[in-house]
Amino acid sequence: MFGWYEWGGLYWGNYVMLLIGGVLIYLGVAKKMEPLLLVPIGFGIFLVNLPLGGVMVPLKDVPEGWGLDEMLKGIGEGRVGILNLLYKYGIESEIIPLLIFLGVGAMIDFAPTIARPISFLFGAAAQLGVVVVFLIAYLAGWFTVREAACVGIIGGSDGPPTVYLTVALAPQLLGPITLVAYSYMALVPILQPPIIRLLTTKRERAIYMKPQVREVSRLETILFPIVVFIVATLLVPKSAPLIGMLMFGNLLRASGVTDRLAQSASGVFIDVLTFLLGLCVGALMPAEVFFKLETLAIIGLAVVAFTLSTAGGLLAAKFVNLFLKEPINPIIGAAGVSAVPMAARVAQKEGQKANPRNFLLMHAMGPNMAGAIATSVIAGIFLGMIP
Amino acid sequence: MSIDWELAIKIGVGGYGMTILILIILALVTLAVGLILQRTAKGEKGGGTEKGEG
Repeated sequence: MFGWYEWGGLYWGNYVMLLIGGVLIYLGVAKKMEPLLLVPIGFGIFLVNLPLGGVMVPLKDVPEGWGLDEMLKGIGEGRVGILNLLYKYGIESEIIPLLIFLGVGAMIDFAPTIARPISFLFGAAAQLGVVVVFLIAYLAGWFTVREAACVGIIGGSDGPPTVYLTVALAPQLLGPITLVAYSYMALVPILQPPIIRLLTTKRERAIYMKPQVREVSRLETILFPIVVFIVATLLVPKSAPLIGMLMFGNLLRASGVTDRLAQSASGVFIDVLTFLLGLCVGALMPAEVFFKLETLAIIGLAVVAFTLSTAGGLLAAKFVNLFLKEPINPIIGAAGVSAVPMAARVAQKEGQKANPRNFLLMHAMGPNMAGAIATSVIAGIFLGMIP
Repeated sequence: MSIDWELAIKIGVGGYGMTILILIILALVTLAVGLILQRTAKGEKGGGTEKGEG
């Protein structure tokens, strides 16, 4: 009766996935929402949901224990696809997410965080959604403790730590978790403003902040990645790969003598890795993997995680204001969810709406960068604590 | 699926607490390094002027 649904060797789920892939490409191209990721992810969904091409076979169909020789032979025989090889050696090995973080580090200027170290507190507080959603997901019995941690980390709004943790703890959820994480990051400009308005008065949002905090010397920007890496690694050894790559990338930029390396890392290098990651993540979503109750649960829980993380950073800024002579605009706390630089842009926009004199972008970049460090730290803590 | 409440609380509450603590430590270290470098720079500036005058 439903034979027509299976036309072309596909069943209805594949058609819906093709539609989802198309929507992602549309959002990336037409709406410019995280295009660097949504376009490859969308196309990756096409690749895996047109199974006749065999570009990537579902992970469950890849024989366990296959090494490089077997994989290469398997590609020739059509038993696995070329993207399976890329997934195994690029993502399952954690190489690609870590190298992307290196590129991110080379793009970031930590000066706003250095100038106002209290930004670290907002970044830490903005991990509220991570732990609350972890608790909900696990205690409700929907996910195992390892899976729940990966669902929770979506609230950190930082791609590479999310991918890194998920590959380590629950690789079977990598497709839906990465898709949901990047989709919601693209939606930060829509998701955050209502939460900001709900938790602050107009008077608070209108608080004026002087444009310049203080000048940060070159030596400080050079020492920052080295000191943060050493301290964070001593305290949370499992965060070393993430923090190490982020800080190494940043050192390339800050040192001022490795400009070529910094430009490479933050240019073509990260672009290539990003689209390879996107393609693989999209290709991890054949219909039979995506259409599960747990995927719907991840979509729902991710909204809770984003909301609570935004609220956490914002409330921390309001709390800090109780002790400050010159109050800060609490909106900048909301930028503690990483999502660099969208969350900082949202703070800028909301602050200027409430007070046209306000220019909060650089103030918000501090918590924004601290959020990236905080998410790596909590990912390391999860890795260290979860059996 | 059996739920280990103790583990959940340890990871959830303990993990969040540890994250805040570690980020506070990073903030304090950053603050300390900044202060030391600013003082050193001021000192060098002062010293430099004296030398220049001398």
